[in-house]
Amino acid sequence: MSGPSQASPDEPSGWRFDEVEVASHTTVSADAAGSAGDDCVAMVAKLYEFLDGELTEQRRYLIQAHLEGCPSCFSAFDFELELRLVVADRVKADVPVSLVERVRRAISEDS
Amino acid sequence: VTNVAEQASFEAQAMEFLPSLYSAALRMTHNPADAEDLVQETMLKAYRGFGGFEAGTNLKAWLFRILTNTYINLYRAKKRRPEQSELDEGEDLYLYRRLGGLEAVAASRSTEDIVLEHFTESEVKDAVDALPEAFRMPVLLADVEGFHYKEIAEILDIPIGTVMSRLHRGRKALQKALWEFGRAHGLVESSTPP
Repeated sequence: MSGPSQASPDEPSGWRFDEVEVASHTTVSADAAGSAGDDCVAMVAKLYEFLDGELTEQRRYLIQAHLEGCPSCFSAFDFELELRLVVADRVKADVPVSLVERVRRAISEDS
Repeated sequence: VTNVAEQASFEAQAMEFLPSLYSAALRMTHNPADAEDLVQETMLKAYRGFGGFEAGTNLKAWLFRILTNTYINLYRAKKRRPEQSELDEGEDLYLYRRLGGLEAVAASRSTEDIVLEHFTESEVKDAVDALPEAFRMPVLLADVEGFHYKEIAEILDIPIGTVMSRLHRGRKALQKALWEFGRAHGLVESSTPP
């Protein structure tokens, strides 16, 4: 049960992206993408554009490099992506067969 | 005016988008009967206007633009409900933080498992439906249908900057709504100190 991710007793058990990150990842990021705390905040600001595939290749690359060196950001990005897939999956409805027939008939009668 | 070949060509290209159009129509009208009428009307209009569709461009986006316009003309006018503009949105990563963030992931539970455990299918639909229309449509078009900002801007006839801001706010509001549903059946914020 006790892994490296376990919070020590005097730390709050909850993980706060913007608060904890600033302190805890400065070393990891040195070779990845500069100063981590500020980077993490900047990453979240670009999260949706990244997941939406709306960034330039260069910005995309910078974020990918950061994600590879920052488990916290990676986890958050992954969650957002997965959540989106789950929501999409549940919102999708099966088309009633009767509607397919209705549409074909309407088009054919309109011809 | 039209012939059998044209009809066959339209059906061969457009019918595959019926599931997407119907799913979106359901979330727009909140009602299967209205959704079916809306989709039929959309497809009929698309068929009649198919000559004006530029081959090689995005047929799905073209059909969704017709769907949106048809909806506005047929249904929204009828309801005469003032467009809701207030939005109960949370901060970034609203749900992620409350569901335990890195801790939950470190406990090797997939996001899908976490979400499936906490929210029923109808709660997800209700959370989407609860979004004001101005925010619901961009979220559906981006997150469910995978349209790009530029396509969404054209489908909804709003500037790209507006698409981005409504998407951002709409997604946060969706997460907050999901969270409220979860709380209603006993979900507890994991970051609450013991």
